[in-house]
Amino acid sequence: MNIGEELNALLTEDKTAIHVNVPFFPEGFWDINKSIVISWGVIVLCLLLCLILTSGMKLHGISKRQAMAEAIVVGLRNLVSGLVGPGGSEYVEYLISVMIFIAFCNLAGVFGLTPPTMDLNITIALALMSIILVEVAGIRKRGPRGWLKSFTQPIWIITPMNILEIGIKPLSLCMRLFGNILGATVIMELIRMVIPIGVPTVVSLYFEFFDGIIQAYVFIFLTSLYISEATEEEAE
Amino acid sequence: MLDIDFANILYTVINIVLLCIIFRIFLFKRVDKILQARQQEANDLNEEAKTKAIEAENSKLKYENELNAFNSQKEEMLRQSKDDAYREHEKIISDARSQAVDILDEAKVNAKLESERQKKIYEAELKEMVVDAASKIAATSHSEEYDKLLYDKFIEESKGVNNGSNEER
Amino acid sequence: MDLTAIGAGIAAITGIGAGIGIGIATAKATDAVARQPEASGKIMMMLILGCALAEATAIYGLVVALMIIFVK
Repeated sequence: MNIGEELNALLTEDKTAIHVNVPFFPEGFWDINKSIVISWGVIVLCLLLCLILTSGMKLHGISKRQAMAEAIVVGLRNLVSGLVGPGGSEYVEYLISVMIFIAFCNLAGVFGLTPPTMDLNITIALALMSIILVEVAGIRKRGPRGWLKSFTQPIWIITPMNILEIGIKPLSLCMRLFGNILGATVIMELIRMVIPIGVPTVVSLYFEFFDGIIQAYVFIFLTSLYISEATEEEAE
Repeated sequence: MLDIDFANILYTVINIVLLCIIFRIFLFKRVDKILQARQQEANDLNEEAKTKAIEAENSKLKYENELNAFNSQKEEMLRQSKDDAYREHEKIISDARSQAVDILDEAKVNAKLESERQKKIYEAELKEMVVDAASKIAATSHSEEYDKLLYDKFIEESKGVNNGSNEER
Repeated sequence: MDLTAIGAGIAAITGIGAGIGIGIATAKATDAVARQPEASGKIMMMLILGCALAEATAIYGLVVALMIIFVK
């Protein structure tokens, strides 16, 4: 059972990377996981990319790097603004940041690292931030009373469903992202074990590049869908 | 695999907030600055073009006004000269008319005088004829036939004189 | 006898739903492209999105199966 042991090792390994001991807290409470360390790496990579792309920006005779930076910003902004609708234009930059973060995290598997999004903690954090953002957007747009009233829309009988949705939306978001990346990683591991040369490169194009970017897009798509739903003008 | 701990969620939240700030400072603000500068430049160019267009419109209006003034002046002059010419023409015509009337009057007077003269000549001729006739009658015998002949002759003669004066007029 | 493998197999049945869903979505997308070839880019985008969403159910099944096997 070589394959089973490998998978077991992958899925049940000890993920703690750095031990942090803080007084008055139980042992291991503030430990930092490997996924957090990798996401630090992702953040540093993003910072470096930003600095490289935006260094020496000019008004005329722009370089290729600057053209790329402008294309990324304008393109992503148009994409996300189109999704989030007119009510949530102030959340566009957050959504773009999260999208780039998730995409880079998903692509970490290409470099032989464990994708940080395979750690449930990170996807839970992302989903929690998303649902908080959605509800805050709703409260800011409609006011506390309007926000509470929106639970009874379109009819009062659906109120329990609406309340349940607050829990279901982030659960679905975090499990979808986590499960997709977990599945892709597991399948890639299996393929690497069976055929180590050649095939994994081709298959990783789908499972790591395509699926990773699609999942980042889907995460942002759903979040902006929820935001636009929360901030849309009530039809009276 | 599924161990959820609060600390790592917190770390991730902090990480994402940090990433947002990084993106905001190092990507969006920088690119936005450039885009805004470009927009500003485009706006400036647009504004400049607009002001130039307005200037051109203004100068066009000015020239049109000048042209209009010139045209009206020209028309004024033309009208004045026309008026002058008309007045002159009127004057000439009236002069000519009065002259013509004078000439006509003169001609009429002349004709009258002429006719008077003719009349006088004719009267003198008639008188002479009558005197001639009377002397003839007196000289010759008084036969009835001869008288008749004489009358006829007299009438013939007077007719001839009448016709002659008619033709003359 | 270890019944966890059977449980994991049952959890993997979710793949049926995802397969049917993606099949229907693809059929409709093909239909739409045949009707309006000029909108194929947009339809493709929607199809990929719909597939990603439909796949999520299969992924849930996978996650549950893996949990059953590995979470002790």
